[in-house]
Amino acid sequence: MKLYGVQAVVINSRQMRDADRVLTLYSREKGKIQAVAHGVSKPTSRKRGAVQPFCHSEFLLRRGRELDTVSQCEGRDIFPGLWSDLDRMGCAAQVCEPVDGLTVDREPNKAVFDLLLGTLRKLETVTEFELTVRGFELQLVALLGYRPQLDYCVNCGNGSLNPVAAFSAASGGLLCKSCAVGTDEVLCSGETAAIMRLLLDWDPVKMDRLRVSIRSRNEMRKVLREYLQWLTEKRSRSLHFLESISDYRTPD
Amino acid sequence: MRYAGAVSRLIGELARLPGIGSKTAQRLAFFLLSAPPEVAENLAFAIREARLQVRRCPVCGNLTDREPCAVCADEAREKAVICVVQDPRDVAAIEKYRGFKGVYHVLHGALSPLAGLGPEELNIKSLIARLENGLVKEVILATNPDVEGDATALYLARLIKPIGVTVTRLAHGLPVGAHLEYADEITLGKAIEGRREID
Repeated sequence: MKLYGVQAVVINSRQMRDADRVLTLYSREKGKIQAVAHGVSKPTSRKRGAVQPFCHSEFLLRRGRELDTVSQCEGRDIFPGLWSDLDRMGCAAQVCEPVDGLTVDREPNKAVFDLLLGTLRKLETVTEFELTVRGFELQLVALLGYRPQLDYCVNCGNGSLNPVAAFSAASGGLLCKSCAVGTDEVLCSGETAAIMRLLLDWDPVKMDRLRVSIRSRNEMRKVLREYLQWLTEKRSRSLHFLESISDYRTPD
Repeated sequence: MRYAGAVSRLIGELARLPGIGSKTAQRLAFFLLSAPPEVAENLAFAIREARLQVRRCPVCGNLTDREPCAVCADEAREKAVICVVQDPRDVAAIEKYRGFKGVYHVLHGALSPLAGLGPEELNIKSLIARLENGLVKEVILATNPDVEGDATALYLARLIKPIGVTVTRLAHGLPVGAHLEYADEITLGKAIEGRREID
C-alpha cells in the first residue's frame, strides 16, 4: 500500500516553494520521517493547523520516491500553551532539536516518542520548564545509548575518592579534580553531577519540587550543550535562539 | 541535450530563480530567443533598473525606489499607528484592503526557535528607534499566525510594552467564505478565544 498512517510529533518544519513545507515527523510507528505538506501556508488549507511545529497529530502519508507526502492529517494535541509563551516555545524547540539530530530515519523507538510527547505536555503547564528540558535531554541520550557516566571519573575510575571537577563530552562522563587538570573541559561541580543523576530517572511531573541553584543550572546547561553538540556534531540552534532573545538589547 | 554556450548560460541563470526547474528554464529561454529582440531587452532593462534602484526605505525597511518610501512620505498617513509585517509582500497584501491608514515597518523575516534565527537578524532596532520619539500610540503586530510569527509577536510585545505603546495583534479566526466543518483545531480554538459580541 502506498498510503500508511502514523501518529507523530512535528519536530521540524521548513519552507519549500511558496506554500509548501517539508516536515520532520517523529512517529510512534516508524520513527523519524521526512514528508512534504503541500499548500499548508495557504489560509484555505485544511492541514495547516495539524502540521505546525510541536503538534501531535494523526497523519496519513503517501509513500514517495524521495520524500513522502502528507495526504491527510488531524491534530490530537496542539499545545496552545507552548504557542503563547516565548520561553516555553524556545524550550519546546530545545526538546525537538536533539530528537531530530540524534535519531535516524525510519528507526522507531516508542520510548523516545513517549518521552518527547510527555515532555511537550509537561512544558505546557510546568513552571520549572528549564529543568524539564535538562531532564528530557539526559533521559533522551540515555534512551539512545549515550547515557553519560555520572558515577565515577571516566579517566581513572576513582571519582568517588576525588571531588568532581569537570565533564568531558568526548569521553562521555565526569572527570575528577586530578584528571581535569590542564584540560579545557566544562566545569561541573559535585552538586550539579548529583542533580544530573537525579534527573536521569526523575518524573517530569515532580519537576516543580526540585530546588536547584543558579550555578548548577548554568553548569548543567553548559554540560548538556557540549555533550549534545559532540553527539550531533551541530551547534544547538534553539539554545542560540533562547540566548539571543534574553541577551538582545535595544540601542541606548 | 547540450546547448551552445550563451543558451546554456541563460538556461542556467533562469533555473536559479525560485520555482523554476530546468525544463521551465529551457522553455523561458527559448521563448526569449524566439520572441522579438525588444522583449528580451525590455526584460533585461527592467531587471537591471529594479536591482539598481530598489533599496530598503531608511524609515520602515520596505523596498522602495525613493527615500523615504511612498507610504512614509505620505502626509495623509497616520504616523501614530505602525503595522509591523514580516515581508514587503505583506505590505502589498494589507494595502489591497485599503482600510489601513497607518504606516508600516518591515522586519524582513521572523524569529525562528527551530532554525535558531534571533532578533539580531531582523530589522528590529530601527522599529524601537521609531517608537522612542513618543509620537507612536499603537503598534499592530501583523506577523504570520504560525510558530515563527507568534514567536516574533511575543518577543516584540515584550520589547515594546515597557515603552508605553499599545501593542495589538491581528485577529485569528475563520477565513471568509469557509465552512466551519473544514476548519482545523488551532484555528477553531483561536476563533472561539477571540469571539466578539454582535453589535
